[in-house]
Amino acid sequence: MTFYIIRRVGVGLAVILLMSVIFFALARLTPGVPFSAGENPRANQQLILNRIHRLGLDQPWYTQYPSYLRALLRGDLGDSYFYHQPVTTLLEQRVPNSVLLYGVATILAIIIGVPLGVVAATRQYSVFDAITSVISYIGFSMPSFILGIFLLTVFAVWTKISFGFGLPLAGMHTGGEDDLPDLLLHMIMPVTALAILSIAQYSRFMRASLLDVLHQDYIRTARAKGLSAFKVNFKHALRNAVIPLITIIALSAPVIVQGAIITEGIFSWPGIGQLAFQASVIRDYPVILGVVMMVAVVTIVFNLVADIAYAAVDPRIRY
Amino acid sequence: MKLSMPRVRGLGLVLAGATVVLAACGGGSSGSSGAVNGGTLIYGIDTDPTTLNPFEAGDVVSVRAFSFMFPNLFQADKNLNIVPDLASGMPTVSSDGLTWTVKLRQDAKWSDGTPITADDVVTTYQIEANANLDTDASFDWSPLTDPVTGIQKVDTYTVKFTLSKPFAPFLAVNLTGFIAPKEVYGKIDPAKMRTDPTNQTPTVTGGPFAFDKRVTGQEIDLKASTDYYGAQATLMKSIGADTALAATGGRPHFDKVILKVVTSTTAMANGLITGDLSMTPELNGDAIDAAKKGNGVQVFEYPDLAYYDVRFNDRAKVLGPDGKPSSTNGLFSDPLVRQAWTYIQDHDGMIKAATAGHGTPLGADVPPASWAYDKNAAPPYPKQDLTKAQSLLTQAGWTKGSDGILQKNGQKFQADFCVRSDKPQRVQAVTIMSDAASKVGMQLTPKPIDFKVFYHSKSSGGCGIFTGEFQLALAGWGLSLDPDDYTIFGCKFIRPEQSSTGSNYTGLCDQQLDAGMLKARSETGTSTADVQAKRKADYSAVQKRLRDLNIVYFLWSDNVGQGFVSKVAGIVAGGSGNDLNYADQDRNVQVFSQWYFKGGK
Repeated sequence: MTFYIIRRVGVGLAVILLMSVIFFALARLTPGVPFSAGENPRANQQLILNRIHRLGLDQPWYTQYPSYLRALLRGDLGDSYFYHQPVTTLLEQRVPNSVLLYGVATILAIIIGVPLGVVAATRQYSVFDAITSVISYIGFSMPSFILGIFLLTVFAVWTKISFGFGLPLAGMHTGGEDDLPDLLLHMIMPVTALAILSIAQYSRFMRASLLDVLHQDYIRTARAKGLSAFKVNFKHALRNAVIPLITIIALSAPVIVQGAIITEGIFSWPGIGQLAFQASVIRDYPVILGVVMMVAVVTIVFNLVADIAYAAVDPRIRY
Repeated sequence: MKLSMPRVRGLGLVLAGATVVLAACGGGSSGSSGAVNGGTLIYGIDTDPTTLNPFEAGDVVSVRAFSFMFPNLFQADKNLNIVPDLASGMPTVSSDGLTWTVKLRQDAKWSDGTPITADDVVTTYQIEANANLDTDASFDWSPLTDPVTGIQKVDTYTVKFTLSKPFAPFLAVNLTGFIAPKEVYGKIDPAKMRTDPTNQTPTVTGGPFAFDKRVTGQEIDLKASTDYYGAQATLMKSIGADTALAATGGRPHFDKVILKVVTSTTAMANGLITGDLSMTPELNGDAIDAAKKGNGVQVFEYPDLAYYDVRFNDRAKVLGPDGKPSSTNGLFSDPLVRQAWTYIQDHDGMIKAATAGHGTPLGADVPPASWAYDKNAAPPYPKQDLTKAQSLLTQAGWTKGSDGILQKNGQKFQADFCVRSDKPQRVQAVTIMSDAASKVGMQLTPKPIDFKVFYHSKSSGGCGIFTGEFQLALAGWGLSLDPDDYTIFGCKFIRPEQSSTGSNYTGLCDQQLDAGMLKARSETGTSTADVQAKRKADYSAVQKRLRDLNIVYFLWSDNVGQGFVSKVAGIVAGGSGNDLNYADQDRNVQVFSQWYFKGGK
């Protein structure tokens, strides 16, 4: 196992290096430069050209990359072109907001989705199973931006106009407030929008995985030996059925740090998704690369964690 | 229990006393009749400001954010006339137009209690003029004889500017900006201004509000200044405001302003209706209609200080990738073709359709709100007349081929019609105009292009506007408080032939137009009003010449809206009663001290 982990870490570092080259090149090869005079006829275009030259943006990407790599190896992600702060500072400010939002949505999805899938599997073809399936398909089919705008329009606007009370429209807090109840109130809609898709996904996956296990010979043997349905389903079947779900959840962990661009935009949630989107639009290369590299590292780390967890849960798996 | 008369009288006195106490406690103190202090204005912004350092602010949101905190030397009043702010009066200009002297008011203070003096003015402008300043903002102090010695302190409250030649726009273009404290910003290396902590937390300010705290990505909290010179009746009068609304005690009416980040346009439009926001500084298109329908919302809709036009490449030959004239003729080089264009298009109808009624048609580069506007020099474009257009095109030598496309000397009238892809209204306008043009045989293909490459060469995916490779494009321009547009139409700004950084993309040099714009720039006179009167006549001639040549085809100004919840009062609008251009983008800072909540909260 130790040698396996060392090998995986080495491969992971090589992958990160390769990804840094690819994304650096992609960013620099995208048409357009970060700075332009726009539609201001009085803009000092010479200053803009001077800055482009000072940052080396008028050079080929392969001549810019070495200095970027040297800084990256020092842990320096550079300064944002537009936010007047180091990229690491921006990430430190935004990542916790995305982790909070997506983390709560994921936990909620596990708490609701897994039991739903288990019950659907153990009561296959029942009315409950049918209802769960329909709700899951709706959850899969609904684009997140439509769901978000629907929640916003109904629970923040319509209820406010009709009943005098509505959920908050935007952000993490009411202006000037910073207490926990205010935060929780602001989280209701964006968490719901994110959790619905995950609930659908986890419940369907749990159902399929558990059904697969329940049809195995050893389960039939366990039943034949007279074990209770509870012991068969939860002690023997569920433990094996949950293994693939661990992989799914672990692989979705990077999504927690990369943020949900659309959901964060609709609910004005100041997360990493919003930051990455804005950076892409204005060509803030250091921020774009900082987000990408952070997600790459997290993805590789959580892949490794998933593999280790796999071995811990399933004694048949040994590296 | 039955009450005796003495008990009733006693109870009545107690109740009366309690009522007086309650009335004194509720609603905050009163500035003067009608205006009440108190409350928090929640001001919606659509992105997090990139900086709160006025030297670094190059985007509209950042400018709006810092404008609450820093005073201007001069400002715009409700009718966009330039009036004093920190200055105690209008500048004194020498008869040759080369020396401008400005006296400051002597009661203005920074938030740390120190007086605002000529040192702060000199330092601010010298920083702006410093070639090493690393900034996204645009400062142009080239009219001065020297960026350092051209600005001098005469005494504690007097500053003198020395120009190399007369420059009439100097007041509106150079002297209406912010003033920053020397003791803070004068100590920062201009080359390192970009990363200084003042970008996040301005420590010393002098506007109606001071910085309180910032939660990145969410909000910026400002608190009322306690010693703001602008909260006075005399100053209210100078901006055309109601003097009865002036606050006393050196503070604005609001206790706090919270700039709240709302990235969703749906949420922004509905925020006023639900009360999550007290004010939105920029509503566009459908959001204006949605806000107007809401109960408890007031919307001021007016033409923005910006316009769009169809920019023709007026060159005889479009340029090639090497910067030299190519073999391709400029389709719009012939004035007859450009004139035909004005008859091909249903100008007002197209604008109404493209903007859903939220655009003000223009016939010139001067908006109706400007003092320089002359409706006789720039009358509305003619009504659509395809027969007349066809006649003009035939006169120019264009005839329809068998495929229905106009042709001349073997060249077909075919071109890409470039437009920014991120602006749906402009894309729709281009589509409508292309369709109209097809009726006379012009085959124009709408080409939406990403804004980051829009102006750049064709080889980098752009339209080729900077490089002279384009035939026509729908472009936009922001306007300042001065009507000077020399950089857009002047001969020496033709790009790329005359200037690598100029803004005259049409390639057309007209000596009469050039002379007219230069004359307007260099007028001198006995007073500001005298100079303005002369320039108004000059700009009438400029506007007429632009229209006679049809160098470009002027389109429209977007109608923008500022929305407020109904309880916000004290809003004074200019123009025809709805224009709040002056109260936006740092054109006037005192105005923020005038608004108040009815009832004080």
